[in-house]
Parts: sequence; C-alpha cells; structure tokens
Amino acid sequence: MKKIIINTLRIFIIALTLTSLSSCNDDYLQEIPQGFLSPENTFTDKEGFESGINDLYRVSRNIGVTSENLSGMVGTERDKSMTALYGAGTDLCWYWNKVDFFSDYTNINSFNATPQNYWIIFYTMIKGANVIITRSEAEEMTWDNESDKLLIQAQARFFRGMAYRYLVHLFGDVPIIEEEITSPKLDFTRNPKSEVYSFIIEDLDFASRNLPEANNRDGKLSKAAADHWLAEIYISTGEFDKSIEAASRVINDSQYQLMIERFGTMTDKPGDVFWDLFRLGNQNNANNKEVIWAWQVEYNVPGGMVENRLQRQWGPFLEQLKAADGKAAILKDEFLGRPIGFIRPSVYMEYTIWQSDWDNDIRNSEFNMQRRFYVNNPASSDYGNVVSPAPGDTVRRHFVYVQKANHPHGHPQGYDTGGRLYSDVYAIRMAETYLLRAEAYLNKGETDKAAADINVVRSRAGATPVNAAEVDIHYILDERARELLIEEPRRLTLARLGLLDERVKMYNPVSAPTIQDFHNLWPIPQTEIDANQGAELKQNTGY
Amino acid sequence: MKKKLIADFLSKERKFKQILLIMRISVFLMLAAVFNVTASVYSQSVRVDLDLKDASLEKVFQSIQDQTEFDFFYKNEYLPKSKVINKTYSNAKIDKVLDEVLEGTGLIYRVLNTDIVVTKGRESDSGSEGLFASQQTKTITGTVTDENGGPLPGVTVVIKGSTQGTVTNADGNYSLTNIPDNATLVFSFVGMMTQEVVVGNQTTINVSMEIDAIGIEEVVAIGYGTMKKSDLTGTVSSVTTEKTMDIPNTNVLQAIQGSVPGLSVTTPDRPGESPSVRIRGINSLSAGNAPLIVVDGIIYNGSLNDFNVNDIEKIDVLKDASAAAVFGSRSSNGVIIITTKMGKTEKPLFNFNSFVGVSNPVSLIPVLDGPGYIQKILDFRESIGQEADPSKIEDYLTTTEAENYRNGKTIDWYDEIVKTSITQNYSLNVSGKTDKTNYFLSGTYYDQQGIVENDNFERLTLKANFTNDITDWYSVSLRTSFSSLDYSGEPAGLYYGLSPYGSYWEDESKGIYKEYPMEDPFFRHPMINTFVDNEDVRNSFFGLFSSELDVPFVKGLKWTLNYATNLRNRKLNNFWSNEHTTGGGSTANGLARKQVYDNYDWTLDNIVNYNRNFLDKHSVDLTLLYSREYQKYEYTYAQASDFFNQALGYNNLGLGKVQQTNSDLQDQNSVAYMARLNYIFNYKYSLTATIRRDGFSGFSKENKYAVFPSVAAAWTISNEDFMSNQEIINLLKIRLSYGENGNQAISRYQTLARIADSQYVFGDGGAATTTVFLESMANSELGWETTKVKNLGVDFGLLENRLNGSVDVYSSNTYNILLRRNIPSTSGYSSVWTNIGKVHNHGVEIALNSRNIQKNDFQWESGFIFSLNRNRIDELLGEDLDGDGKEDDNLANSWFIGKPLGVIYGYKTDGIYQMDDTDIPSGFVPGDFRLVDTDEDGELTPEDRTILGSNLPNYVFSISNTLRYKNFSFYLLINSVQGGGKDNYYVGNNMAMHNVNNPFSTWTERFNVQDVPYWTPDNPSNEFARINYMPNRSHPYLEDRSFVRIQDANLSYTFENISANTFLEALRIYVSGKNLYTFTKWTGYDPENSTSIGSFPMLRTFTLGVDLKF
Repeated sequence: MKKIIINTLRIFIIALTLTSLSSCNDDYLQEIPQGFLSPENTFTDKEGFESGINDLYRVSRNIGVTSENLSGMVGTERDKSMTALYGAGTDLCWYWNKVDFFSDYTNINSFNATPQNYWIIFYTMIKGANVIITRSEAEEMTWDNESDKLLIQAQARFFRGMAYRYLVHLFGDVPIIEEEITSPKLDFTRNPKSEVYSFIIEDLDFASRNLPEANNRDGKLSKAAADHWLAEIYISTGEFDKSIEAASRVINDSQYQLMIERFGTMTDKPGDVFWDLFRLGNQNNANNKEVIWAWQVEYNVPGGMVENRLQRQWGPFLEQLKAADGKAAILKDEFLGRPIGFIRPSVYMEYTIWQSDWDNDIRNSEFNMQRRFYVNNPASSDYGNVVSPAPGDTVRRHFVYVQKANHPHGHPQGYDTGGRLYSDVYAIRMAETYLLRAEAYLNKGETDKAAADINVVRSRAGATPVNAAEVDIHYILDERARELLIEEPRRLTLARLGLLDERVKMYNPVSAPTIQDFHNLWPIPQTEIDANQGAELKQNTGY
Repeated sequence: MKKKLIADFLSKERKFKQILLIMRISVFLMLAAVFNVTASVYSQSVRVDLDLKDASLEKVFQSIQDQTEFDFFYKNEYLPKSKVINKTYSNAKIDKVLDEVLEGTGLIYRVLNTDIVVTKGRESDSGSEGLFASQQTKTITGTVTDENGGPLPGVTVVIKGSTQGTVTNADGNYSLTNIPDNATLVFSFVGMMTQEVVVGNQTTINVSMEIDAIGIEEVVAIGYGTMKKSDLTGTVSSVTTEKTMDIPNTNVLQAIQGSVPGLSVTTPDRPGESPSVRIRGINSLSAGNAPLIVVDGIIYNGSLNDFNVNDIEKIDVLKDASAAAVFGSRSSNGVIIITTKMGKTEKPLFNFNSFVGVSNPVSLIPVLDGPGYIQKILDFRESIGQEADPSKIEDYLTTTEAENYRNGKTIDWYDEIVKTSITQNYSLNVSGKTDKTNYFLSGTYYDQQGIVENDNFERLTLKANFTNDITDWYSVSLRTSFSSLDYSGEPAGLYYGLSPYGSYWEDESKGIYKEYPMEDPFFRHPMINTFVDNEDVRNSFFGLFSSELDVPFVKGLKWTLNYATNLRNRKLNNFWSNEHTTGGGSTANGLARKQVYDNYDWTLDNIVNYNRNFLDKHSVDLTLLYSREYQKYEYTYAQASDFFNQALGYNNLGLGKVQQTNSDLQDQNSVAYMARLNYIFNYKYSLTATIRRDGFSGFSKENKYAVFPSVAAAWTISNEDFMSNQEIINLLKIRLSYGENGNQAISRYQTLARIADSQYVFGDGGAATTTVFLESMANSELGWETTKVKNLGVDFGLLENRLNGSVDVYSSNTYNILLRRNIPSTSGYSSVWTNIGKVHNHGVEIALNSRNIQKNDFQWESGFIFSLNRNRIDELLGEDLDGDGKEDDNLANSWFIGKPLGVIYGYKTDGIYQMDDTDIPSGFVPGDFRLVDTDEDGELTPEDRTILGSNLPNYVFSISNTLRYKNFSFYLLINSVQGGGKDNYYVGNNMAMHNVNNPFSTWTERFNVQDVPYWTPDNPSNEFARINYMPNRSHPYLEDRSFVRIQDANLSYTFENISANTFLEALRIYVSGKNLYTFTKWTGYDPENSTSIGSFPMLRTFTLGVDLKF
C-alpha cells in the first residue's frame, strides 16, 4: 500500500510537470479586434465623427431611393414600401392590381412590411445620430475647435429631426430617444405628437443655426435644408409666422432661385427647363440654383451605385404592348428602359390636374409627361407608328410615363432590366419651399400672399397664375402634385394634413371604398410591439 | 537418444505421439514469444567448444546436442548436402555458432527453451512444403488479428469436428499441422465472433476477428484516450461503417445514420451538401447545436465532407455529459469521434473500391401544362376584375407565348432541364504493418453531378497515416489528410415558373438560348446561369503529429504530445460578363470578384496517462490534459467592374475601371485543463470522474473561464458471483452519470461594440467616402452556456448474446443560454446576445441487436434503434414585464415558457372562405384562408395567434436487417421520423403547395405555378387558396412531416477461394440503393428537410460497385 501511495505521488509530480510545461500566462485570452473598429477607437477625432455623419447621409438615402437592405427586406418589398410612401393608395395612383401597396386599405394591419421597413430606417438614423451626439460630448473627447463639434452636432441633429419628421407625420405619437442606447431597452412608450414636434424643432433649429450657409451642390447639408423643414413643422404646430420666417430665410437667400432657363447636360436635346432639372448630372450642377439638398446616386462607383428603382415603379409596362400585327411593339430599349408599371395613375394624376393649362404648363409637356409611344420593333409592319393600346392595356401597359422616372436619352449602362436610374434624387427642392410658405400664408388667411408664392412656381412652368380666391389647401395639394409628382412623399404630405382619407375618396376610386379616417396613420409594426415587453407600445386606433 | 528427427514422428502408426509433439511445439512457439526473455536465458548463457572440419550441418547439430541440453528439430531433406563447415569455436555462444553455420543456407532457427527448430525461411513461406508437411496432409499457418489490425494472442484454433487445435501466440500467429484439405478451421475468442474458414487449397489463413455484437472487449475512443467498452461508465455509441460501406455516402455521418440512437443525420439533396447533425435534440436557442467533431483524438473545425468514407475505421459518439465532459466547454451538443484506419496485416493489403451510381428525383411536383396555364391566366384576371375573355387570350400572353400558343407548341421545362445525375467514386488504399511501423495510405476521387447542368461536386482526398516505434518505449505517429473539394460552376436553375408557351431557343441552329424564354426578365433561361464563370475550390490540410512516451521507471505512465494543424482555404472566384444579365454583369459592364477565405487552426494537447492494475482487482486509469487551441480566419475580397475587355475575367482585376476591396481578420484562443480518473474494482464496479476548466477569448473579462465537472459509475451485475449460475443473462450492466458541459458556440467578438463601415459618394464623379456606424451594442456579460445532464443506462446481453442492447434515459437542463434576443428596432439594433434562460430536455434511447438466425450458410441479424426527446423552455429572461405574475413569453422569437423550442406560432387556419359564407370579415374575400378567432372576441387581432405545433420530432426509429446466405449479403435500413401527438410535433410550413400565388407575390399571372386544384368559385377547395391570394396576415400552412423511408439497401456477393494464380485476395461486387421509397403525407419534396416546390427534389440513387483486395 505504501508503495502505491509513493508511486501515485511520483506519478502526479511527473504528470503535473509535463502538463504545466506551457506557461500559465493567459494574456492570449484578451480579445483585441483586428478586422473591425470599435467605437472607442473610432469616435476619437473629427475624422471619426465625420465618417459617422457620412453614414447618416447613406442611411437617409434609403428613404427616397430604394437602395440598401437596411431592414432585411428583399428588393421588391422595398419597392413596395417606396411606392406606397410616394403615391400608391393616395390620390395619385394605386397599385395596378388594386390590392397591394396600400391600394386596398382593408389589408393594412400591423403585420405589413412597409411601415416596419420605414420604422427601421428612421430609428436606425436616430441611433446613428444619437451615438454621435452623445459621444461628441463625452469627457474623453477633446475637440480642436468648438466649431468642428458644432458642425458635427448640427448635421447629426438635422438627421435626427428629419427622421422624427417622417415618424411623426406617418405614425403620429412615437418614442423620443435623446441619447445613445447602450444596453437592451424594452420599455419604449410613445411620446405625444406635440412633444415630438418640439423635439424636431429643437433639432432643426440647432441645425439651422450651425450648418454652413453655403450650398456646394454636392449632396451635403446646408442651413437652407433645416430651414425648409422647419417651415413645414411650424405649420403642423400652428406657428405660421415662424414657418413663414423659416421659409423666407431660404427664399431670400440669393443662392436659391427657381430655374427659368435651360441648363445642364442636355441643353442640346429638345426639352424645357423643368425637364432639365431631372436629367442625369443636373442635380449637382453648379448652375442649378433650385437644389437645396439631393441624395447622391452614382453609376458604377462603390457607395454610389444604389438601386434607384423609380422607373420600374412609375413607368408603364411597355414591353408587354403588342403592335397591330400582334408582334411585340416595344423591344428592349435603353431610352425607354424597363418600367414595369407597379402603379396605375388615377385620372386625377393623368388628366385632372393638367386640364386648365394642358398645353402651356411645361410640366405637362411631351418631354415631361410622355403619353405616346412608338413601335420600335423593326420586325413589325407597324414599325415607327404610335402604339394604339387595346382597352386591356391601359391597366398596366399604357399610361403616362413621367419622365422624372426615366433617362430619356439613354441609360448610362444601356438597357437595364432592373429599371434603375442613376440621377441624384431631390430630397428638398426650392419649389416646395414656396409651396410651404404659401400653405403657411393660407393658414393665416393671407390668400393673396399664398397665391403670390404659388404663382412663382406656376409662372416658371408657364401656367396661368392663380387668383387668391381660388387658393385653398386642395389647390395647394393640386399644385404640389403638378410640381412635385414622384419627388414628394405624397402619403406623408396628406397624412401631415390629415387629408389622406378625404383626398383618396375624392380622386382614387379604387382605394376609396376601403379607406377609413384612421388610415391617415400607419400602424405601429407588430414586431416592435411584440419585442417591447417592458411597456405597452400602444397601437394606433383602428388597427 | 537425443537425436529426434521429426520425420520419424510423422509415420501414421505414431499419431498420438505426433499430436503431443505438435502441441508441445505449438505451446513452445507461443510461450517463446510471450516469454522470450526467459527463453533466451539458457541460450544466452550456454557456451560450446567446437572444432569443425569438413563437417555437415547434421554433424554440427549433433556436436551441439552432445555438449548441451539442446535438442535439434529439423527435416533431413532441408539440410543442404553440399554445405561443409570448417571452423573452430571456443567458448562460443550458441546463437553465434548457428548464425554462422546457417549463413547462406536459407535456413533459420528458433530456440524454444532447450529445443532448437531449424527450418526454411519464414514459417509462412512456401505452402505445401511446410515444416511438418506430408504428402496427404499439410500445415496451415497464419495470423489472427483484431479488427484494428493488432495481433490477437490466445485465440483458439481447432479443426472442426476434432480435438486437434492450438492457440495463437503473442504475435497472433498459429500453426497447425496435418490438416486435411476438406477441413474447416474454427477460430474462437472470448468477446469475438467465432469464425469458420474452409481450408481448401490454402496454406496460409489469416483471420481478422470481429468484435462480437455485445463487444465486451471492444475498445472505444473516449477523448484523449481509449477505454474498453466493458469498463465504460458513460453513454458512448461505437459504430463502424462496415455495414454501410457499400452505400454511396458523401459524408461519413450519413454512413452511421440509423445506427446510433439519439443521433439524427439528415439526407442532403444536393451534390456536396453537408447533412445536418444533432445529438439528443437541441439544447441551445441561438447558439450552434452541431456536435463537436474530433478526428483521431483532436478537435477538428473543418467539414466532415473533407473525409473519404472509406478511410474511416470507426465512429464513437459521446452522448451523455460524463462522456462528453472531457471536452468541457465544447461538448454540450455531444461529441463525434472519428478514427481513421491503420494497417492491420503484415502483408501489405491493397484495396480498390469503385462505384458508379445514377440518381433521379424521387418526384417532381407537376406544374400546369398548356391548357392549365391558359385557364390560370383567365382565372387570375377574372379574380382581380380584369377582362378575361378566352377569345382574347393572345392579348394576355407575351409575344413569344402568343406565337407558341398559335402554333400549338408547348414545352415541359422539367424535361429540358432535369437530367440523370451520375456519381463515380474511385478509391485505392494500401495498408500494412511491420514490427515497428504501421501505415495506411489512401487516395480517392469522387465525382457527383447534379440533376441539373453544372450542379457538380468533385472531391479528391489523400490520406497518409504512419506510426513508428522508435524504441520499445517511444513512438511517433503522423496522420495527415488533404482534401480538395470543388463546387465550381453555377448550376442551371430548376425553375418551375417558366411558361409552357415559353421558348427554349433564340436560335437553335447556333445553339443560342432565349435569354428570357417568355420575355419576362424575372425568369432568365435556366441555362444562362451556367455561363457564369465560377470557381469554388475548398482545400483542407490536416496534420496530426504525435509523440508517445512510456515513461521509464514508472510502469503504466505514458506521456503523449499531440499537435494538429488544419489549414483550410477557399477560393471563390466569379466573373459575370456583360453578355448576360446574371449577377449584374451587364449592369456593371463585366463584374469580376475574387474572394479568398483562409482558416488556420492549431491545437496542442499535452496528455499524461497513468493506467495500471493493482493486486489484480484495482484498475486505475488517470488522464491529465493541458490543451491550447488557436483559430485564425482571414478574408480578402477584391472586386472590379466596368471591363473594356472581358477576356480575362477574374484573373486580371486590374482591367476593371471600378475597383473595390475589403478584408478581415479574426482570431481566437482557447485553453483547457482536464483531469479524468477511471477506477474499476474487480471488473464489477467502475467509477469515472472528470473535471475540465476552459478558457475562451470570446467571452467577457469576468467570464473567460468556466469549470465543467462530471462523475459516472457503472455496475456490471453479470460479473457478480450470484449471476454465474444462470445461462440466460450474459451481460447486465447499469450505468449512472451526472455531468456538466458547455457551449461557447457564439462567434468571437460578440462582447464588443462593433463598428461597421460602408460608403457614400458626395458630388458627381467623386470618389467614395467611408462611412462608419455602430453595428452592435457592447455586451460585457456574455459567458458560457452550461448543460447539466443526468443519465441512467442499462446494457444487456441475453441468450448467449443473441439478443443484446442498451437503454438510456436522460434528463438535461441547459442554463445561461446564449440567446440572440430580438429587441425593438426602435433602439436601432434588432437583436442582442444574452446569457439567460433555461431549457430542459429529457428522453429515452433504445438500441437492440438480435442475431435471429445463425446457421453456417445463413445468418440474419436485426438492429432496432429508437429515440424520443422532449424539450421545454423553462425560463427565458426571468422578466414579468406585463405584470401578470408569470414569466413573460417571448413573442418576437416564438419562445414560450413550458413549450418546446421550435414551436410554430401564428394564426390558425380552418379551411377557406367560400362564396356562400356570411361571416367573412373585412379584408377577406372568398378563396382566402379562414383565420381562426381563437380568443373568440369576435375580432381578428394579433392576440389570436397561437401555438400551432412544433418542428421537432415526436420520436425517431430505424430498423436494419442484415442477411447473409453463403456469399451473398443483403442489408436494408428503414428510417423513420414521426410527428403527431397532442402537441402536434414535426410539422412544417408547406406554403408553396397551398398558396400558389405566394412565391411570386402578386405576379402569378405572369408565371407558371404548380398543378394544384386552387380555389375558384366553381372549385370550393378547402386546401388551396385562390389563385391571387395574398394573405394580409401571414400564416403558416402546416403539414405533417412524419415519414417512413426505405433509406438504404445493399446486396453484395463475395467471391471466395479465388484461384491461386491470381493476385486477388478478395473480390466483392455490390448493388446499392439509397432513398428507395418514402411513405409520407407531406405533399412537398422531402419531409425531413421540409422542402417543397422551389427547392431541389429528393434524389433516389442506385449504384453498382466493386471492391478488390490484393
């Protein structure tokens, strides 16, 4: 027995010696990221914060350009979202099958992907902005110049205010988040609209005071962008004078004026000044005095090649048209691109708003509103003639092709089945500033001043001036449709005014029977309600 | 009279003496080998003085006999008459004398105590002229080995029907004389299956003994060592691939499907696809549930597709916590230990195996034909209120469709695209061993073509295993494998939405496909994909270098050092030319991308083992381990587009105008200390205790280390004295264990807040600007997931082990579950890893083996495997935020307290709304699925969602049968997963079959759909929604996935007694079938993988193969 004990001891000693040959130092268990940055080594200087700001430009682009997959949705879902925000199911148009994309309001509920998609985009922007705002004031961060910090904060707060502008108009009361969230939060509650408005005003006002005055037409923010949206928010809060003041700061800035003469890249082509505004390369053009802020799209450059799929959404499904002899009428064509007619325009969009000035309003010219298409299939006996649509074609294949959603003189890449565009996209264009100020004047009862502002826009278009007596909110909405068709998130405008159901009933015979007044607001996404276990995230009434 | 000439004893009259002598020699031979140290004592000490002049060998032997106690045995005719020796020896050692005098004669000698046998060359040489041979009878010699190729001493070899026989010596060798040609030799050994071999004209009979099914002497790999199965305390299933070696399996784990209770292996549908593998259900909510893979004793992080099935000797599956505990933090999902082959015989053994197989889809879900397609368009248009006039159908078709419709031309796209898949395999290996060296070398080429063009998988594997005993107490070994997996080529699309009126060719004479067969760019021609230049090659090198030292002076102490390195490299290159619209090639004017993935792992295991038996009753086996592991991953991404010249593709990215690059590096470190003590008393009581401490860099500072203990005991009741008087129970053993295992299977860096980057371009014509954003929150509390398992097992063998098996019941709880929790996106993040929650599992596993018939010519064995696992979430976040006094369920993830993981939660359906229904709510129309108002509040609200079932099985079983008749062998495996039960187990969402509109969103008008009787006003279906159904609240379409499958069948014929003048040793030919038939109610393709139309169909494979040994 003794021998066994001694032996055992001996074995243990040898074994321990052998197994502990390796060092006991376990520094190697420290984890040091080598392939990615951490916030601690990123937000340490001006350059780091600038990169963070640049990302907010990128994220915000997803509002007006169906681009990256921020919300985990496939491209077609994002197409639907954008179409629903910009027109489908409003007074302008519906989805061609009359059901989807918010065209049939009985289908709208908290499970719909579109509100969720935008909710994620807006709150991703808010998170990005809050990280920058919170960390720019962190003790460890020292700024070389106070002005650098203010510029960073001004941009961050602009984006935060911008996100809340969309949220409050589309969803009503929403949770306000003022700083970076560093641990899981499950008890969000909705702040009343009024608090959200004040929050937006604080942010945009800060931005207005600290953003640079100069607009370099490169997609970066300047003061006017903040003022423009301040003008809009002040209408919602009923502070019309402040609205007029903010809009006037833009209008009186000599940098900005409506374009009245042809300019830019395609002046050698037949067209007009309104047409020029939307041509490739013209949004950032040094001569473009109308642009306040544009989302940047660049063909075949990393970071620039996003999917601006306006064409598939808004253009008619031409490739299905047949010529008189039964052959295909329209072959692949880089001039027409590949629209696939998600939307079906209402009579209101296609005819009613143009009736008074059908021939003189350049916004309704053949350049801007293409209504005739020519058979381009050489194999057809009908080659070169105007396509005459069969009655069934007008559902989806043959209607007005708004040229804001096209590259009329050829795609940069030739024919593109994706229906993508590569021109930059106006987020804010000065014509709208006039229309906002007109709205503020109208609310104050100063219809003459409202008419004057509207007429600045109309006269550039060559349309007959409007009389003060004719100006009401519906007239302004008509004018916005004429001027800002496809550029304006129409649903947001109508929701902001609480007129969505009314306008749909007036002009959208397909959606009208299905809409109720509660549809003015979107439902809070069910995913948010389900995950928010610590508090009730109340659903909008009606849903 | 000392001289004894063997020939004298061979006369027929002296049979009795002869037998005695033979037995004596045999025993001497054996003893000599066993105790050769003692045997040599006398020969080493005895010295002789010889003065040899013109002496014959006979004379030399005579002289030595005269001076010593030695007797010489030899055959006269062997001694060369011409040999004459002239030499003088003084005080010379015997061996020196013999060495010299026998030099050049071809004779050898052996010293057996005081007998010296002189014979020709090696015993096994020159058949009929054996040492003891005569005209009428002959001598048989041979080696008996165990199934690992190790020599097996003590095996009884007798001539059937006689008492004549012997036992094998320490080298496993035996020799029997005077064997008639028609004799049969019977080889038997405790714990091994008795074998009978007909002698015929053979003179060398080497036998490899197989472990008896009950396998009490079987050695199993238990991690950082091996153990006799009889000593096991944990639950370990040990299987060889022998029965399934003729089944065409790509992945080695498919070969043990249906052999291990509690192990589930799915059947892949695509070439080169890896099966999904689970042991005892799922423990973890979000982290991985795949078992740990150990190859030749060391953790392997690569894919098991890297291995050739034929190179695998056996697979041990560690199931309970006590068995798996040696792998601590890595083991909560069980451990699969794979042991590759080594040499078994002294004679080099070549083995060539080849098979050719054909695979076809078991079924292809039919799509609408021409008239059905036309009707669908009319139905669709009518349903959305558009004109639907059959006479205007051409208006509703695309131009191509209209033209083909006019000409009455239709196309069945399945016929055009789906082909018979061919699989080929060629494998050659050589193995063998000498005194010091053991080797196994192998090479395999495997080629599998899919059922569509370009869906290919090619594999080349090379393997080399060597061990070498440098000294008696020190050996080194090297086990390497190299594999090259080639997945290159973009497969043709197996699209079913293509119109039957589409066109295949743009220009058939020039072989140009119609890029958009029906103009619609949503569907390209299925073959266009194959034009993508795609290279996807995955190489892996695995090398295990070990050194094994029997520590001098301390008997039973062994020091092993294992170092393994694994290099895995994947090259993924793509070029999309501007000629086709795939992958953005035409959009970007040529797009080329090169991606390189590099993995480099190393592991160092420092193992000390002490194994000794004291006083014949106390057996102790102690293992200590120090282990370090490092893993590194590198990634390089380079992309270029806008090529003015497309000729070079991805080989010269510099030609592209637009460049984009990216790269990544990640690494991680682990460390582990482990001690395991195994103590066995009197072959009856065993105890195993294990403790392991693990450290992992991926966890937060405070949680880097964790300790995982386990203990297990076993009682072999059948070894008790009171059991010795009965014949029925041969084995009865009870095992009881408790242990803790961990799971670290979240990826590294999860504790850190992470910055991601992207790009944005300001202004026109400018360069991209980098943008950064915070992608994840920091998470300073992440740590290990711990699973605690209790296991009770019984092993038994009855009726001479004709019936044997085991039953295990277990219960496990997993704590601190690593959980990817969905959080409100309002915070800017959609999910976060947390370390909370508890999941419970319990289950029962049964394995039964039975030798139903055991005749000389006919044997029938059956195996039955059954397992049942129940799973339940016990705790989630521990929060009661809604204040109802109960812990909250987690809707966002479909996690419910008290319910299993994998529940399906959503709206319940109850048929379809019909035209006459008066209770159709707003938002619904006839033809829509009826969603049930489960809370009966009269409204359809999110609260009506309910738990509908579970995707986990209810129970699983498989039945295997092996029949052998003479040289025929037949194997059949039936496999089944069953659902049902009150909780509606094993259901899947088969949306595609019930809502034809769903896969194409609202575009069903433009595409073909599956041929199902969808709802129309005239066809009030309750199963298939209307043609344009778009659910406004998504809901599942559940179907039962239960199935019984005739999984594998194999028939082989072995040619025996191949004539002596061929080099062949054995030849086997076989036919096999895989996935022969599935009985199921699932209307999609494969219930097991829950696939339906839109994915690849299940394949049925037949192979014809040949296996040669030479």
